[in-house]
Amino acid sequence: MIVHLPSGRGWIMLFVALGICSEATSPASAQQAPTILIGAFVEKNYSTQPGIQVSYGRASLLDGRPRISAAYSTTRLATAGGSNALVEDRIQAGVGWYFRPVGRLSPYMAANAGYARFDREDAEIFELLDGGAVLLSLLFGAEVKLLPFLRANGNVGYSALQSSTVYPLVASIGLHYHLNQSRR
Amino acid sequence: MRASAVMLAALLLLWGCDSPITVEDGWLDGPEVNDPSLTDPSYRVSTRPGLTLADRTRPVVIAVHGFTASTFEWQEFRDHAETTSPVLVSLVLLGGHGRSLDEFRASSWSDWGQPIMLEYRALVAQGYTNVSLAASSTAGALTLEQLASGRFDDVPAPRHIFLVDPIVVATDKSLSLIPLLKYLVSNVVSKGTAEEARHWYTNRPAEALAQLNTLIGRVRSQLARGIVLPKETRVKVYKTANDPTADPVSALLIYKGLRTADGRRVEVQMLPSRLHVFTRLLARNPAAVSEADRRRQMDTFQEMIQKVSE
Repeated sequence: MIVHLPSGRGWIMLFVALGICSEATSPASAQQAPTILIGAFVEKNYSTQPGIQVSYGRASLLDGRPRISAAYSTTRLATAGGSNALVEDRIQAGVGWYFRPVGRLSPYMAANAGYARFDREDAEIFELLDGGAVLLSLLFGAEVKLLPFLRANGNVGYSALQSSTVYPLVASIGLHYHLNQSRR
Repeated sequence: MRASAVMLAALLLLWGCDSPITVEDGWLDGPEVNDPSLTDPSYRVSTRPGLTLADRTRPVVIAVHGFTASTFEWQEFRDHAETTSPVLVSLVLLGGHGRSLDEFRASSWSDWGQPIMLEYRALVAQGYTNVSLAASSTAGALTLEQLASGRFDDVPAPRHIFLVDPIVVATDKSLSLIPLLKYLVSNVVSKGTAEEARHWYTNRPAEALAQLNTLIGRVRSQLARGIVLPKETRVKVYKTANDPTADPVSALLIYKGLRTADGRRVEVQMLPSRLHVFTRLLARNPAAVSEADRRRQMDTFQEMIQKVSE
């Protein structure tokens, strides 16, 4: 069995996630109580791609309304399972604004930017095909606190830049673990 | 209040994209102009008068056009092949096409594909032994769907299938929004040259666009699961790299999802052109056609003729 490791950008995402996690475990950050969520999501655009996401916000900054995030999604799981779908990776970074950050249900809007790349399979035959595309999307959604340490979210949005595998409508659902809450 | 105003503005903007149906004299959309194959039996080889038993050993290519087009799309190939080689070309009109716009609007993607199989089965029943298909654009998607659905399983397999700029992913991604937009946008106008308006629908009803979107979504799923060709069938895909209608990634999806009976990949040739269905140069704006386009067209015709004559 061939194991597909993340691409170079996938590794960068992993290091960013580890960096955020290390802050969450430091004594200083416990006092500032940042919101650090790590979770999984499924995104539907051209294809359905599962991914991982890390997001970060500070209660001391504008009452915890802004949050930044980084995400990596891929079709590699489906293609490893025998599907002939395109092998595609997406990395995205974004900033979100949560309208009720302390409420049980918080609507939010977010803007994401990133990069998508699909595998051309045979670089000689498909030399004329551009496998890369810049991502830029605006999302509207809601986050619900299921448990003190567990949140679910869903959003729909519009992808402003479209390309071969980037469609205008983007939607995702996710489940996220609140690192700081779980330690209390 | 502000949110309602924004919503209203968005709806008005969408309605602004809607185009009323207008039909001018001489357009295919109108009642006066129909595809000539509806009245002239010589367009289809199975109904062509004057062919003898001896002709049944000649190679036949069933040439099928794309969405909104008509038999005109493959006329140059028929004229070239039948004057320079023993190859017979059968020009098939897709269901719902080449007639009135109302018939087009009321037709489904499965209606579009029926005449392909009718002609194929008629030729096989008449004793033609060397039958191939040339499918452009949406006809490429219809042919892939028919292969995936086993429509060729109970008949002798086609020798060759040529897919010219097949559409599996549309270049204009707003097509993917048609299930939502069809409630707001009833018609989209696509204007070409005056001669093109005689052979292509200028108006594209939302219902027909929704059918196209359904078809290509279905074919993408079938390709993701894998489509296996009949044992005797060989496929060649010709795809222009800067196609304004069928996204070039369509060729990659076919390359990944379509296999020969013995598990091999199909042949794909990417071409540096901005034309959609580059094998049709007639009636185009002359400024849009280069010498290289003419060379590519002739090279492709020659290759198709050579392959079916082997």
